[in-house]
Amino acid sequence: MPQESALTIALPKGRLADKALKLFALCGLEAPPLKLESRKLFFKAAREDVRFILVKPSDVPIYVEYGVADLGVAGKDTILESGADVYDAVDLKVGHCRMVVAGYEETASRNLERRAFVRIATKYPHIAQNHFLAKGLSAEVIGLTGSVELAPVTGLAEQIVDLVETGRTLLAHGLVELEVLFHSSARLIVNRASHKLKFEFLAPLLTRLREVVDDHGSVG
Amino acid sequence: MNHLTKAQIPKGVQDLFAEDAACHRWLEAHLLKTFRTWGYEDVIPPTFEFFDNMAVGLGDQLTHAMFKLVDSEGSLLALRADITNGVARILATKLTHAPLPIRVCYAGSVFRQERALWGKQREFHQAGVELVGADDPRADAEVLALCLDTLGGIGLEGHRLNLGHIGFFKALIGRNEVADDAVTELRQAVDNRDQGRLEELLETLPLSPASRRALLALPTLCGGVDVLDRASRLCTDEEALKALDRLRKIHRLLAEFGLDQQVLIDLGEVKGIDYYTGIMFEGFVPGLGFPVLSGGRYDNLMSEYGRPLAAVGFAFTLERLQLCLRSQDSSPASIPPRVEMVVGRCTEQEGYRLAETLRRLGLIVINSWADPQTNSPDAILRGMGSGKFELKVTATGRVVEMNSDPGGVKQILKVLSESSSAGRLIEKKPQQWESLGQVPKGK
Repeated sequence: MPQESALTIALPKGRLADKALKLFALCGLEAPPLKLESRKLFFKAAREDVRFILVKPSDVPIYVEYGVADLGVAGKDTILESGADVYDAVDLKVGHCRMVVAGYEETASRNLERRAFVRIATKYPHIAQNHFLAKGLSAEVIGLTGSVELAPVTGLAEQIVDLVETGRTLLAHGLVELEVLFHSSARLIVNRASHKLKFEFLAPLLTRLREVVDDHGSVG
Repeated sequence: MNHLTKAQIPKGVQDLFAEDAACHRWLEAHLLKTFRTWGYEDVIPPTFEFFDNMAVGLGDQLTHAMFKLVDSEGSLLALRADITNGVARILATKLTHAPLPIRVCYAGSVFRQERALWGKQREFHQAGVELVGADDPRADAEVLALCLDTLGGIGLEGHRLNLGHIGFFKALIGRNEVADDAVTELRQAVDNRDQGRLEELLETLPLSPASRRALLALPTLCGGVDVLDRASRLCTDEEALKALDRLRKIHRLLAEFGLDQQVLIDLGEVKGIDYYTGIMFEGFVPGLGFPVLSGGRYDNLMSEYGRPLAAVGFAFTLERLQLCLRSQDSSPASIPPRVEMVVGRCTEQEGYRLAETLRRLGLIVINSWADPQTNSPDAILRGMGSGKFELKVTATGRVVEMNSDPGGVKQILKVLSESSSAGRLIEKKPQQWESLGQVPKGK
């Protein structure tokens, strides 16, 4: 069997990785500071048997579901969109935002319910599709990869489903939040098999992480 | 769909060949062999049945995932999405006079319209057992021990079972007016260990403070036997305490078997097929992020088929076991040496008789007409004339000449067992050859 790290943790490239590393450091898993320009995708924690891998944020739940990484840090939005079957073990209480349906005021649901066709533009097609199906609406979900606010402005879609932190971007385009689907924050996710097979290692780490999060509230 | 090529097969099925096919067959045979040594007898249910009989106890999600078909009479049929149902139907309606408990085992393909997850495609293969007509904790302990015995027997290491009890969760919400949808959501939140969501949901439900406290703790009620003590302190519900007591008894038995270190108690494990009523468990092997087996107790399913009997069982997913073997680099060592037979200067009769003898001893002997040989054999037997053959071992180049008599046959086996490439593959060790008795009527 190839020599494996005791633990592999998948981090999302970007700001969240730094915040997560601060939390891990407080749990005894110090790692060298990340260099922005570094192209390294692997690095080890101070204790040699723990390694971090840096992946695209939306890929974190997949790495963890498949068990290539035992743990990962991902937004609740990313976890739900991926549909990955993983443990959502610790709310890290950073990266707060909310998933909303937004559009021009006059497209509020009271007006849409009587319409046969609704087009929804979003970067979260699964979340959007499930939401509208549950309401009995066969929305036409248009998957985009950026600048979703542009869809109502240009007439591509009546509404959008998007992640909102402050709401300023929506406001700038004259859009309003019509409905909040859920509140999101960064989570520590755990692979199901790792949870059982590495329980003795993971259980204290998860307990410690919960304490750290409760003590420190929001980190950086 | 794009233009259909001749190479194309539907999404979710696969062709197995070469080592993969050999390993699949070996695994299936080995699993069944192990089950039989514990007294489980074969049962072979059909691959498709009436949808209504097939869907019993499977729950919305699995029923939805079933492949349905309509036959020429207009009957709605379904490919099996689970083998336990077919077995339960047979035991309830056909094997009605068999003494209890009944132990049966099976192996076969299962069909589910789900996304592929690590070897588990739309068609995958299960091998499992059912122990029916026994409510005793010893029955639960037996199937758990059988899981571990089977995993160890195929050469895997570091594996572990997680053991929960759906009765504990059901008892905590049982006597309250909780709507089905809410239970499903609650189950999902516990299953995902999503503490925040769990708190949110519990606030809206009419539950006693004790039940609420116990439910909130569920995601972290995981570990050794002390978990059961922790859980006992959290609740007063009689049914819930009974579930914990059951787990305690099972754990004590496993400890006596010396297997408790390989079992992790996890009361937060509440996901599983709808028909489960008692213990639920899964098996995990290092190197694979998904369970290789799952099982549990289902005391109400048999009564759905008209014969109320307690039952417990499990099924392995062969594809996942195969991936474990690959990742732990422990391929099954039961492929006998491949020998190529070139009749050469001997007669066809002499060649045929020697090959026959060697095949009866378990070797693979391939008839060869062409030179050079293309079957990548471990050794080549070449007729030298007058009943003499020459054995050339591929790996070492060693050449030995012998007669095609019992002495020569023994010599062939000896040489092959000494060669590193072929020898490690010989299942029977040299000292066992003598006990094979006389070499069968070789000329």
